[in-house]
Amino acid sequence: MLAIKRLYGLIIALSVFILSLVFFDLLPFLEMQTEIATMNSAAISFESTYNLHKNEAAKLRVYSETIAPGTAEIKKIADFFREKGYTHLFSGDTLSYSGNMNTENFTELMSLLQQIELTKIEQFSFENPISLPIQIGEEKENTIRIQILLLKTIPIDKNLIGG
Amino acid sequence: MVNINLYKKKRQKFKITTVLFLIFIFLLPIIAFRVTLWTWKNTEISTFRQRFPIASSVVPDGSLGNLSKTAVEIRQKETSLKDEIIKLQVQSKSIENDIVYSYLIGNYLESFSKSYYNIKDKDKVFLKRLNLLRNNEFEVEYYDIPYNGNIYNFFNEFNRNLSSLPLNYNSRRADINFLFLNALEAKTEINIKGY
Repeated sequence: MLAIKRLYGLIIALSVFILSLVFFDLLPFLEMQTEIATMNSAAISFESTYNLHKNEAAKLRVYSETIAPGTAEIKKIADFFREKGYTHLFSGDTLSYSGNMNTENFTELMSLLQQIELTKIEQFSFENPISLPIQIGEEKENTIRIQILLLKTIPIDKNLIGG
Repeated sequence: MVNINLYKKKRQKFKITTVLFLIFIFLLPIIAFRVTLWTWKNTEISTFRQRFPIASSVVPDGSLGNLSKTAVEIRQKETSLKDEIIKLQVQSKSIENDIVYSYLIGNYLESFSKSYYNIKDKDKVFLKRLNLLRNNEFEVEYYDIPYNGNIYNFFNEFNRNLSSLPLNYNSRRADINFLFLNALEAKTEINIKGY
Protein backbone atom coordinates (compact mmCIF):
# COMPACT_ATOMS: atom_id res chain seq x y z
CA MET A 1 0.00 0.00 0.00
CA LEU A 2 1.35 3.46 -1.01
CA ALA A 3 2.01 5.70 1.92
CA ILE A 4 3.94 8.84 2.66
CA LYS A 5 5.18 10.40 5.84
CA ARG A 6 2.38 12.03 7.78
CA LEU A 7 4.23 15.36 7.86
CA TYR A 8 4.72 15.32 4.09
CA GLY A 9 1.10 14.37 3.61
CA LEU A 10 0.00 17.27 5.76
CA ILE A 11 2.37 19.64 3.96
CA ILE A 12 1.07 18.50 0.55
CA ALA A 13 -2.58 18.88 1.62
CA LEU A 14 -1.94 22.30 3.18
CA SER A 15 0.03 23.42 0.13
CA VAL A 16 -2.83 22.43 -2.16
CA PHE A 17 -5.20 24.27 0.18
CA ILE A 18 -3.12 27.43 0.28
CA LEU A 19 -2.42 27.47 -3.46
CA SER A 20 -6.10 26.87 -4.23
CA LEU A 21 -7.05 29.59 -1.81
CA VAL A 22 -4.69 32.01 -3.50
CA PHE A 23 -5.38 31.10 -7.13
CA PHE A 24 -9.06 30.21 -7.01
CA ASP A 25 -10.34 32.56 -4.34
CA LEU A 26 -8.05 35.36 -3.29
CA LEU A 27 -6.75 36.47 -6.69
CA PRO A 28 -10.18 36.25 -8.42
CA PHE A 29 -11.68 38.12 -5.47
CA LEU A 30 -9.11 40.92 -5.72
CA GLU A 31 -9.45 40.98 -9.50
CA MET A 32 -13.22 41.20 -9.19
CA GLN A 33 -12.95 44.06 -6.71
CA THR A 34 -10.65 45.95 -9.06
CA GLU A 35 -12.87 45.24 -12.06
CA ILE A 36 -16.00 46.34 -10.22
CA ALA A 37 -14.29 49.56 -9.15
CA THR A 38 -13.10 50.16 -12.73
CA MET A 39 -16.52 49.37 -14.15
CA ASN A 40 -18.30 51.65 -11.68
CA SER A 41 -15.87 54.45 -12.36
CA ALA A 42 -16.34 53.96 -16.13
CA ALA A 43 -20.12 53.94 -15.67
CA ILE A 44 -20.13 57.09 -13.52
CA SER A 45 -18.02 58.88 -16.11
CA PHE A 46 -20.15 57.50 -18.97
CA GLU A 47 -23.44 58.59 -17.40
CA SER A 48 -22.07 62.05 -16.76
CA THR A 49 -20.92 62.26 -20.40
CA TYR A 50 -24.27 60.85 -21.53
CA ASN A 51 -26.15 63.56 -19.61
CA LEU A 52 -23.89 66.22 -21.09
CA HIS A 53 -24.58 64.79 -24.54
CA LYS A 54 -28.30 64.80 -23.80
CA ASN A 55 -28.16 68.45 -22.73
CA GLU A 56 -26.11 69.48 -25.76
CA ALA A 57 -28.47 67.63 -28.10
CA ALA A 58 -31.48 69.26 -26.40
CA LYS A 59 -29.83 72.67 -26.74
CA LEU A 60 -29.21 72.04 -30.43
CA ARG A 61 -32.84 70.94 -30.90
CA VAL A 62 -33.96 74.22 -29.35
CA TYR A 63 -31.60 76.09 -31.68
CA SER A 64 -32.95 74.10 -34.60
CA GLU A 65 -36.48 75.23 -33.74
CA THR A 66 -35.26 78.78 -33.17
CA ILE A 67 -33.60 79.09 -36.58
CA ALA A 68 -36.35 77.30 -38.50
CA PRO A 69 -38.18 80.58 -39.39
CA GLY A 70 -34.99 81.65 -41.21
CA THR A 71 -36.08 79.50 -44.15
CA ALA A 72 -39.29 81.50 -44.43
CA GLU A 73 -37.33 84.77 -44.22
CA ILE A 74 -35.01 83.95 -47.10
CA LYS A 75 -37.95 82.59 -49.08
CA LYS A 76 -39.78 85.87 -48.57
CA ILE A 77 -36.81 87.75 -50.03
CA ALA A 78 -36.56 85.26 -52.89
CA ASP A 79 -40.28 85.84 -53.55
CA PHE A 80 -39.60 89.56 -53.63
CA PHE A 81 -36.92 89.10 -56.32
CA ARG A 82 -39.15 86.74 -58.29
CA GLU A 83 -42.20 89.01 -58.12
CA LYS A 84 -40.18 92.03 -59.18
CA GLY A 85 -38.61 90.08 -62.00
CA TYR A 86 -34.98 90.31 -60.89
CA THR A 87 -32.75 87.47 -61.96
CA HIS A 88 -31.32 85.93 -58.84
CA LEU A 89 -29.93 82.63 -57.64
CA PHE A 90 -31.84 80.83 -54.92
CA SER A 91 -31.14 77.33 -53.72
CA GLY A 92 -33.35 77.08 -50.63
CA ASP A 93 -30.66 78.11 -48.17
CA THR A 94 -28.63 80.59 -50.24
CA LEU A 95 -29.74 83.60 -52.21
CA SER A 96 -27.52 85.78 -54.29
CA TYR A 97 -28.20 88.74 -56.50
CA SER A 98 -26.19 91.25 -58.37
CA GLY A 99 -27.53 93.87 -60.70
CA ASN A 100 -29.37 97.16 -60.80
CA MET A 101 -32.51 98.00 -58.90
CA ASN A 102 -34.78 101.01 -58.91
CA THR A 103 -35.08 103.01 -55.70
CA GLU A 104 -38.65 101.98 -54.99
CA ASN A 105 -37.75 98.30 -55.05
CA PHE A 106 -34.50 98.99 -53.30
CA THR A 107 -36.30 100.69 -50.42
CA GLU A 108 -38.55 97.66 -50.19
CA LEU A 109 -35.54 95.35 -50.21
CA MET A 110 -33.85 97.36 -47.45
CA SER A 111 -37.03 97.15 -45.44
CA LEU A 112 -37.06 93.37 -45.85
CA LEU A 113 -33.40 93.13 -44.87
CA GLN A 114 -34.05 95.12 -41.70
CA GLN A 115 -36.71 92.66 -40.66
CA ILE A 116 -34.63 89.53 -40.98
CA GLU A 117 -33.37 88.02 -37.76
CA LEU A 118 -32.37 84.50 -38.68
CA THR A 119 -30.83 84.93 -42.10
CA LYS A 120 -27.21 85.86 -42.48
CA ILE A 121 -26.25 88.73 -44.75
CA GLU A 122 -22.88 87.31 -45.72
CA GLN A 123 -22.15 90.02 -48.23
CA PHE A 124 -23.96 93.14 -49.28
CA SER A 125 -22.46 95.84 -51.35
CA PHE A 126 -24.12 98.58 -53.31
CA GLU A 127 -23.48 102.09 -54.46
CA ASN A 128 -25.34 104.87 -56.08
CA PRO A 129 -23.88 105.72 -59.46
CA ILE A 130 -24.96 109.37 -59.37
CA SER A 131 -23.27 112.02 -57.26
CA LEU A 132 -26.14 112.80 -54.85
CA PRO A 133 -27.80 109.45 -54.40
CA ILE A 134 -31.16 108.26 -53.21
CA GLN A 135 -33.10 109.74 -50.40
CA ILE A 136 -34.09 107.04 -48.02
CA GLY A 137 -37.82 106.57 -47.67
CA GLU A 138 -38.74 108.71 -50.65
CA GLU A 139 -39.55 107.40 -54.05
CA LYS A 140 -37.29 108.84 -56.68
CA GLU A 141 -36.44 107.58 -60.11
CA ASN A 142 -32.95 106.33 -59.77
CA THR A 143 -31.05 103.09 -60.07
CA ILE A 144 -28.95 101.50 -57.39
CA ARG A 145 -26.12 99.25 -58.44
CA ILE A 146 -26.01 96.20 -56.21
CA GLN A 147 -22.62 94.60 -56.65
CA ILE A 148 -23.50 91.63 -54.50
CA LEU A 149 -26.16 90.54 -52.09
CA LEU A 150 -25.48 87.15 -50.58
CA LEU A 151 -27.88 85.76 -48.00
CA LYS A 152 -27.69 82.43 -46.27
CA THR A 153 -29.86 80.62 -43.77
CA ILE A 154 -28.19 79.45 -40.58
CA PRO A 155 -27.06 75.91 -41.31
CA ILE A 156 -27.64 72.94 -39.01
CA ASP A 157 -26.61 69.31 -39.34
CA LYS A 158 -29.88 67.45 -38.81
CA ASN A 159 -28.02 64.17 -38.28
CA LEU A 160 -26.64 65.48 -35.01
CA ILE A 161 -30.11 65.88 -33.52
CA GLY A 162 -31.41 62.68 -34.99
CA GLY A 163 -33.40 63.74 -38.01
CA MET B 1 -2.07 -3.70 33.33
CA VAL B 2 0.83 -2.22 31.52
CA ASN B 3 0.55 -0.53 28.08
CA ILE B 4 3.38 -1.56 25.88
CA ASN B 5 3.88 0.19 22.56
CA LEU B 6 4.79 -2.55 20.22
CA TYR B 7 5.30 -0.02 17.31
CA LYS B 8 7.51 2.40 19.17
CA LYS B 9 9.92 2.79 16.31
CA LYS B 10 7.29 2.65 13.58
CA ARG B 11 7.38 5.77 11.32
CA GLN B 12 4.06 7.67 11.23
CA LYS B 13 2.64 7.64 7.71
CA PHE B 14 -0.50 8.57 5.76
CA LYS B 15 -1.99 6.43 3.11
CA ILE B 16 -2.31 8.13 -0.26
CA THR B 17 -6.09 7.85 0.00
CA THR B 18 -5.91 9.63 3.34
CA VAL B 19 -3.85 12.41 1.79
CA LEU B 20 -6.30 12.68 -1.14
CA PHE B 21 -9.23 12.73 1.26
CA LEU B 22 -7.49 15.43 3.27
CA ILE B 23 -6.93 17.48 0.10
CA PHE B 24 -10.59 17.03 -0.83
CA ILE B 25 -11.68 18.20 2.64
CA PHE B 26 -9.39 21.24 2.37
CA LEU B 27 -10.78 22.08 -1.07
CA LEU B 28 -14.37 22.21 0.16
CA PRO B 29 -14.13 25.73 1.70
CA ILE B 30 -12.28 26.86 -1.41
CA ILE B 31 -15.14 25.66 -3.60
CA ALA B 32 -17.68 27.15 -1.21
CA PHE B 33 -16.00 30.56 -1.34
CA ARG B 34 -15.74 30.25 -5.12
CA VAL B 35 -19.52 29.75 -5.31
CA THR B 36 -20.00 32.68 -2.95
CA LEU B 37 -17.74 34.77 -5.17
CA TRP B 38 -19.79 33.84 -8.24
CA THR B 39 -23.02 34.80 -6.43
CA TRP B 40 -21.38 37.99 -5.22
CA LYS B 41 -20.37 38.88 -8.76
CA ASN B 42 -23.95 38.34 -9.99
CA THR B 43 -25.23 40.55 -7.19
CA GLU B 44 -22.72 43.22 -8.15
CA ILE B 45 -23.83 43.02 -11.80
CA SER B 46 -27.46 43.31 -10.73
CA THR B 47 -26.62 46.31 -8.52
CA PHE B 48 -24.66 47.79 -11.41
CA ARG B 49 -27.67 47.44 -13.73
CA GLN B 50 -29.89 49.20 -11.20
CA ARG B 51 -27.41 51.93 -10.36
CA PHE B 52 -26.31 52.64 -13.93
CA PRO B 53 -29.23 51.79 -16.21
CA ILE B 54 -27.90 53.91 -19.09
CA ALA B 55 -24.36 52.57 -18.96
CA SER B 56 -25.53 48.98 -18.69
CA SER B 57 -27.98 49.43 -21.55
CA VAL B 58 -25.21 50.31 -23.98
CA VAL B 59 -23.34 47.09 -23.17
CA PRO B 60 -24.58 43.85 -24.77
CA ASP B 61 -26.21 41.45 -22.24
CA GLY B 62 -23.61 38.72 -22.64
CA SER B 63 -20.62 40.92 -22.03
CA LEU B 64 -21.83 42.27 -18.72
CA GLY B 65 -20.58 39.06 -17.08
CA ASN B 66 -17.06 39.90 -18.18
CA LEU B 67 -16.38 42.90 -16.01
CA SER B 68 -13.11 44.06 -17.53
CA LYS B 69 -14.57 43.78 -21.05
CA THR B 70 -17.61 45.73 -19.88
CA ALA B 71 -15.47 48.57 -18.56
CA VAL B 72 -13.55 48.71 -21.85
CA GLU B 73 -16.79 48.80 -23.87
CA ILE B 74 -18.23 51.54 -21.68
CA ARG B 75 -15.05 53.59 -22.13
CA GLN B 76 -15.22 53.09 -25.92
CA LYS B 77 -18.86 54.21 -26.00
CA GLU B 78 -17.94 57.21 -23.88
CA THR B 79 -15.15 58.16 -26.27
CA SER B 80 -17.53 58.13 -29.23
CA LEU B 81 -20.07 60.06 -27.16
CA LYS B 82 -17.42 62.68 -26.37
CA ASP B 83 -16.67 63.03 -30.08
CA GLU B 84 -20.37 63.62 -30.70
CA ILE B 85 -20.49 66.19 -27.88
CA ILE B 86 -17.65 68.10 -29.54
CA LYS B 87 -19.58 68.09 -32.83
CA LEU B 88 -22.74 69.24 -31.04
CA GLN B 89 -20.87 72.02 -29.24
CA VAL B 90 -19.18 73.19 -32.43
CA GLN B 91 -22.55 73.24 -34.19
CA SER B 92 -24.23 75.07 -31.28
CA LYS B 93 -21.45 77.63 -31.13
CA SER B 94 -21.67 78.20 -34.86
CA ILE B 95 -25.45 78.70 -34.65
CA GLU B 96 -25.04 81.06 -31.69
CA ASN B 97 -22.53 83.13 -33.67
CA ASP B 98 -24.82 83.17 -36.70
CA ILE B 99 -27.85 84.21 -34.64
CA VAL B 100 -25.88 86.99 -32.95
CA TYR B 101 -24.48 88.15 -36.28
CA SER B 102 -27.88 88.15 -38.00
CA TYR B 103 -29.45 89.95 -35.08
CA LEU B 104 -26.70 92.59 -34.96
CA ILE B 105 -26.71 93.31 -38.69
CA GLY B 106 -30.50 93.52 -38.67
CA ASN B 107 -30.28 95.97 -35.78
CA TYR B 108 -27.68 98.13 -37.49
CA LEU B 109 -29.71 98.34 -40.67
CA GLU B 110 -32.78 99.07 -38.62
CA SER B 111 -31.01 101.78 -36.63
CA PHE B 112 -30.26 103.54 -39.92
CA SER B 113 -33.89 103.69 -41.00
CA LYS B 114 -35.09 104.35 -37.43
CA SER B 115 -32.75 107.33 -37.26
CA TYR B 116 -34.10 108.56 -40.56
CA TYR B 117 -37.76 108.28 -39.51
CA ASN B 118 -37.00 110.19 -36.30
CA ILE B 119 -35.60 113.20 -38.17
CA LYS B 120 -37.22 113.02 -41.57
CA ASP B 121 -38.88 116.45 -41.11
CA LYS B 122 -35.54 118.05 -40.32
CA ASP B 123 -32.97 116.50 -42.70
CA LYS B 124 -32.67 114.87 -46.07
CA VAL B 125 -30.54 111.75 -46.14
CA PHE B 126 -28.90 110.35 -49.24
CA LEU B 127 -27.42 106.90 -49.11
CA LYS B 128 -24.26 106.81 -51.17
CA ARG B 129 -22.66 103.45 -50.57
CA LEU B 130 -22.83 100.43 -48.31
CA ASN B 131 -20.32 97.66 -48.06
CA LEU B 132 -20.77 94.65 -45.84
CA LEU B 133 -18.58 91.58 -45.84
CA ARG B 134 -19.02 89.22 -42.93
CA ASN B 135 -16.15 89.05 -40.48
CA ASN B 136 -14.40 91.78 -42.40
CA GLU B 137 -16.00 95.16 -42.94
CA PHE B 138 -19.27 97.00 -42.64
CA GLU B 139 -19.32 100.59 -43.75
CA VAL B 140 -22.02 103.03 -44.77
CA GLU B 141 -21.53 106.30 -46.58
CA TYR B 142 -24.26 108.89 -46.80
CA TYR B 143 -25.02 112.57 -47.16
CA ASP B 144 -26.93 114.43 -44.49
CA ILE B 145 -28.56 117.69 -45.62
CA PRO B 146 -30.52 119.68 -43.03
CA TYR B 147 -33.56 121.62 -44.26
CA ASN B 148 -32.69 124.54 -42.01
CA GLY B 149 -29.47 125.59 -40.33
CA ASN B 150 -26.41 123.51 -39.98
CA ILE B 151 -27.38 120.97 -37.33
CA TYR B 152 -26.95 117.49 -38.76
CA ASN B 153 -29.81 115.76 -37.02
CA PHE B 154 -29.50 112.46 -38.85
CA PHE B 155 -25.79 112.15 -38.22
CA ASN B 156 -26.31 112.85 -34.51
CA GLU B 157 -29.33 110.56 -34.24
CA PHE B 158 -27.66 107.72 -36.14
CA ASN B 159 -24.54 107.90 -33.98
CA ARG B 160 -26.67 108.04 -30.84
CA ASN B 161 -28.52 104.90 -31.96
CA LEU B 162 -25.27 103.17 -32.87
CA SER B 163 -23.82 103.85 -29.44
CA SER B 164 -26.61 101.81 -27.86
CA LEU B 165 -25.60 98.77 -29.96
CA PRO B 166 -22.80 96.49 -28.89
CA LEU B 167 -20.24 96.80 -31.71
CA ASN B 168 -17.52 99.42 -31.94
CA TYR B 169 -17.95 101.97 -34.69
CA ASN B 170 -16.17 104.92 -36.08
CA SER B 171 -17.91 107.80 -37.81
CA ARG B 172 -16.06 110.27 -39.95
CA ARG B 173 -17.56 113.43 -41.34
CA ALA B 174 -16.71 116.08 -43.87
CA ASP B 175 -18.68 119.29 -44.10
CA ILE B 176 -19.74 120.50 -47.52
CA ASN B 177 -20.61 124.13 -47.67
CA PHE B 178 -21.45 125.38 -51.11
CA LEU B 179 -23.40 128.63 -51.58
CA PHE B 180 -26.55 128.11 -49.49
CA LEU B 181 -26.06 124.39 -49.14
CA ASN B 182 -24.98 122.93 -45.83
CA ALA B 183 -24.34 119.24 -46.13
CA LEU B 184 -22.41 116.54 -44.42
CA GLU B 185 -20.67 113.65 -46.11
CA ALA B 186 -20.35 110.92 -43.51
CA LYS B 187 -18.85 107.50 -43.38
CA THR B 188 -19.51 105.05 -40.57
CA GLU B 189 -17.38 101.97 -40.13
CA ILE B 190 -18.71 99.28 -37.84
CA ASN B 191 -16.28 96.71 -36.55
CA ILE B 192 -17.70 93.25 -37.30
CA LYS B 193 -14.42 91.36 -37.15
CA GLY B 194 -14.88 88.20 -35.14
CA TYR B 195 -18.54 87.88 -36.11
